[in-house]
Amino acid sequence: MEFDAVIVGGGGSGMRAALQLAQSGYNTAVITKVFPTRSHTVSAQGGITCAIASEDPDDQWQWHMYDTVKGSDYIGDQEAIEYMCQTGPQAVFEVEHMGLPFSRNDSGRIYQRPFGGQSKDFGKGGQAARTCAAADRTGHALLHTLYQGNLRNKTVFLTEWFAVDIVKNADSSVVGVIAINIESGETVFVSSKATVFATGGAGRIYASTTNAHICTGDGIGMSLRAGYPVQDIEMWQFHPTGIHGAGTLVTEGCRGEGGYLVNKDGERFMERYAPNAKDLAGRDVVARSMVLEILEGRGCGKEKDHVYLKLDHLGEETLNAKLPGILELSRTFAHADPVKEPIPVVPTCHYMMGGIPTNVDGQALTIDSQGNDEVIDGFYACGEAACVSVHGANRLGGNSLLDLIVFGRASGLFIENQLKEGISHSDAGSDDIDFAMERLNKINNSKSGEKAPVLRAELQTIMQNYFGVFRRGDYMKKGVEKLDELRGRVENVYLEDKSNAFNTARIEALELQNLFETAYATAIAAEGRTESRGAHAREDFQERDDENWLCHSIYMPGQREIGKRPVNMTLKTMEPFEPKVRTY
Amino acid sequence: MLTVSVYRYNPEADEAPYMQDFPFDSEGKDLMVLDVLEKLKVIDPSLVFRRSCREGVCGSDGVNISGKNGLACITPLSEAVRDDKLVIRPLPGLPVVRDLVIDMSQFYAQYEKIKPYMMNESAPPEKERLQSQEDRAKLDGLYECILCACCSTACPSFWWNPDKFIGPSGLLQAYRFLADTRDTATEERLTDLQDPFSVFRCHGIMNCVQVCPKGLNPTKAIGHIRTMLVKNAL
Amino acid sequence: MIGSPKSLSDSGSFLWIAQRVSGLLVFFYFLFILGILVSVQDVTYEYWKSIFNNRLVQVFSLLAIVSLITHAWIGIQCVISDYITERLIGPKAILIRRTLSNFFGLLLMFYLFWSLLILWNL
Repeated sequence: MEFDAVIVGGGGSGMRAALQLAQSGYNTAVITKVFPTRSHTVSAQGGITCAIASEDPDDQWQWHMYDTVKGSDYIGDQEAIEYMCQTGPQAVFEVEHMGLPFSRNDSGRIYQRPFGGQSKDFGKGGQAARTCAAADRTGHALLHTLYQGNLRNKTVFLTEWFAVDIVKNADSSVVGVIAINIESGETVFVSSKATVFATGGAGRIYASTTNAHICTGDGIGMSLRAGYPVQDIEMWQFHPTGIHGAGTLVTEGCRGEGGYLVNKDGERFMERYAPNAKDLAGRDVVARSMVLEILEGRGCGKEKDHVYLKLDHLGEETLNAKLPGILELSRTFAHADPVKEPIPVVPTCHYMMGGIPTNVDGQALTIDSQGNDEVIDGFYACGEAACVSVHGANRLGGNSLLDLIVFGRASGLFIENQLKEGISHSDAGSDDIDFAMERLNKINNSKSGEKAPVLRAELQTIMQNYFGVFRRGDYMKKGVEKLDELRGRVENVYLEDKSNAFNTARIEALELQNLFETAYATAIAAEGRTESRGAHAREDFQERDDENWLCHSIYMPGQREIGKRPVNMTLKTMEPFEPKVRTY
Repeated sequence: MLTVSVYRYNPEADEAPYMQDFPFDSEGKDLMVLDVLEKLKVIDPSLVFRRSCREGVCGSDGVNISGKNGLACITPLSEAVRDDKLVIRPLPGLPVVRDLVIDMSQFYAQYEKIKPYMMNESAPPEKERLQSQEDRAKLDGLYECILCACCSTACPSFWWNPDKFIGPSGLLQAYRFLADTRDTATEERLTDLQDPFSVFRCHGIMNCVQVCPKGLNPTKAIGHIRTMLVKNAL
Repeated sequence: MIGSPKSLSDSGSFLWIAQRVSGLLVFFYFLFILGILVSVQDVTYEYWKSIFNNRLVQVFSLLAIVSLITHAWIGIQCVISDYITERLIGPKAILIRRTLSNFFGLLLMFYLFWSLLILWNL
């Protein structure tokens, strides 16, 4: 199979990139392991943060940029953030024109709600309302709209196909991927002039996560196995409000609409930790405050292991209009009706800030022997799998959906131009393809070993225990040792059922190895960054260390320590924001 | 102790489908049916089903649970178990690929037939197209569809004519675009739907309404489309 | 305006309206007959004949008969195309469907002429 462009992943960023290319008439395929509207973008609730100046006619994208840089704890690339915040409105209006059913305000414009970390006038003008919402189902609405746009533009969907590994040619250019048609078990080399990884996150490396079962870091795993680096992979966002026990997400929009957190004494404790922004401080700040409340014995419930999110004071009418999905989720998974009682919540792994390093055009980068950035020919990444990096050490709520549509679009635009100018690679030889098939062959020929679900559970427990909200050097060392021990067992995972038709056990074995690579990179990078910044909070290094760590971490596969890469602070339109102490 | 009876069929190994019973201990917890399936898959990795978000928004795990179509991830055992028995079958009416996985191409083909995208050929404004809150409210109960196919595969008309009758899910989406004030292709859409099968094979059985895991009402939407068509014919 | 269907039998709206209008007519005719049977104590042949000698009653009866035939025809077509499909019973469905359709078509025609004959002879 041969295409102009192959996009691996049918979520928001993948479908936005595909749309761009299909619209221009290029032969574009999306390889997606689930039917596109089952991708995890569908679970995004609150909205798309973007300065479209609807709720506040004076809103400026520069203010949004300030918030994002501050939220990132200053290791977001300011060039990329500038591009995202400036291009954002156009990208949002495009999806509105495509039919996204945004909620509306009185004047018929897109409804915007307040979210955490948002301010006016560079932090001096109080809380802003900048998150464009379709009730509390914005991700669902966005994903379906993008799928519909792709249907209209005749994108080829290789639905329920699973990408196994990257294929490189003799010049080390990426020329496609090996993929399995899950339904038939057939394995093919899908060749492409441009290969885009939009494979999403990997929240399933933790035992407790808001992420879907399918968020297994497939792109990260493939990329690392191909010898490419990942950046800032220690930065994992723990969302303050995952439903206790089930892990399902409760949108920050709840607090945006006026909900707040209370401890067992009914105290609104965020007033102590963030006197100004309170419950709408950065997610890392809120999550840590909640854990501290629980550790200090002020947690709720029999085990005192969670806190409550109170919404009942907002009234049934508001809740039905603004947060209907949350009512449904809470009633199903927490057995609590938010109209009458609070929702039990606990910080839950939610988002991978790190990923495949890319430039603003989506070109994937590696680091050469002199430590300089080098573009990987034929290889692109966007969305959560990529680290462009707009989120730095902590992502602001609503910025993920914006990231998807802005950088999905940017990658598409760039590849479109490249294709216009003409891209030619030398073909992959049969050796190259055999090399990429090695992992799959090994699993298919496995005769003994442990089952994937068992190993997966062990991996998740290690990550949860040693690399959670609060981290400590000695604990992490122990965690890395455990992972070292696990590696061999994961590589020798046993596939008992060798059948071809819709064999999900095979897929799960392949996913397990991707999870492991992502987890291992996380562990090494987390242990290596000896400071606290954004989502990375260390008990043994409690302060931010701008002298040594105002930079990206770079994890090269096979290595046991991390390198550094400078943060991009060259802006096109203004002076960069200098690091300041981050308070809310 | 619970008996979980699961529909099994592996086209490479089995001549015919069969029901397999697993003993299952829920340890007194009111688990979701998907949790049960996940635990069974650890015991028997060859058991196959689709799943993704596990919170009822992606629509992957539509199955027939003790006789009623629903999403495994949001159906608790307390609703699904009768006499200590839980019966899980694939959604009815479409070909089975393996175990609980069905071939949904016919279902998706009907979705694609209704042109599920906004058509408005006028040049878009620089910002968003305006829409009043009242007009936006017309889309509530329509756009939330997750394409899980619980409704269409519970619909006898869809069982009989899955190639000609659009089915409740597709028609709900058809009306989602007919009702959107930003869409200008009403006449084209109605022309596509006016044959005796696409819409008019709905006999108002309302199985779709009964099973929709999102609480949507396709029959009502179909009624609206029919009214539009009949008004046009008169 | 929406595009017009190739023929009336290709118009779902026409069939839908026809089904309902014919149904209503038959219903009212049924009420009319029932009304006579209930309100008149002793229905003799002469009385019965006198009613049907009325021109309006004859027109109403004719309409009701045509309605009944139409209603039945649309309904039978629907049932046949629901249950006897190639998907369910293979290619032989086409032949069976056509045979049944012709059979019922002829039967209904026969009923129609028979009824007309009766009305004519009054």
